[in-house]
Amino acid sequence: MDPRTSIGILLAFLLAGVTVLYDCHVSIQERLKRVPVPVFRTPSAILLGMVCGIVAAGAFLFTDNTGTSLVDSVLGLKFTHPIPRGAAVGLMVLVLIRSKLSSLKGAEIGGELLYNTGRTWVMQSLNSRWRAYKSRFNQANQAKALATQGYPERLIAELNESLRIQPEDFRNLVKSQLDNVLRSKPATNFDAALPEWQTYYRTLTNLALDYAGTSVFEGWFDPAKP
Amino acid sequence: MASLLDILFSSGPISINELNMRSSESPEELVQEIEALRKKGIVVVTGRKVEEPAALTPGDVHSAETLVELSASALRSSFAR
Repeated sequence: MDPRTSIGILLAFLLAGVTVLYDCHVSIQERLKRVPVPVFRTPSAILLGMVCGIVAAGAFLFTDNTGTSLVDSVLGLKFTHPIPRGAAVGLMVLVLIRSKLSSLKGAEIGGELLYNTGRTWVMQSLNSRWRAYKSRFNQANQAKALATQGYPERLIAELNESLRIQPEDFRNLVKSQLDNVLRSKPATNFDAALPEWQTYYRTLTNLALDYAGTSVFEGWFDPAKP
Repeated sequence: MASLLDILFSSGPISINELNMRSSESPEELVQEIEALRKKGIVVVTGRKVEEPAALTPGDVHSAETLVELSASALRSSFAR
């Protein structure tokens, strides 16, 4: 195989993977509405990127230097040189996935459905990992939180401070939940052994983790790493 | 005002007692809304009541073992928006 064609295949694979990871990051972050998540490090996202990379590499093999092949027509490519052609196929992998080329007889199934199924799987994986992280964080830090004087007040202040630079709808989303949690504060005197106080502290902690991450604890709480 | 779905999208799987604290609904309203969403296939309830999710009662909102999360179809349909 011509070395330039091999480089074209590699570029198609790598750039498709990067494009998909970036798309997952943007589209999932938009929907999850919580502190930014490391999509790039999630195994399911990396696997989705690799699968789309293979699709792009395969599609590249169906292009040619005349610009008249089916894939060239769908993507509007007119590159005679395989290296920029490979890069273009990689960067446009999502156009390819969503095109009629990957649909089944024009039905609403095909590439787009499979891609959205892949993104859904990534979201589920992120949610499971996030839940497990919060659980470990609370296990590692709840006793210290319950023993820290003024923990709820300080945490709420830090959370409000971190929200100042956020868009209004995001601030309202968090503030309404915070108000609800404060209204649910146990009526009994504080007792770290009581389940209702433990639930109150855990709920506040999880709220802060969801919308501001561990940065709200910096400088005053020093949480143990979960 | 944060809706139940807003909370579920951002928190991920959440215990029902924590969801009760974060939401503005009363325990009775919360259980009704979760049950309605479960029947539509939008949420999944797991944990202690997994074998009888329809048997959730307002008293169950204090459980830390019962988890509520968005179903795969709800997550997938968010990409159609």
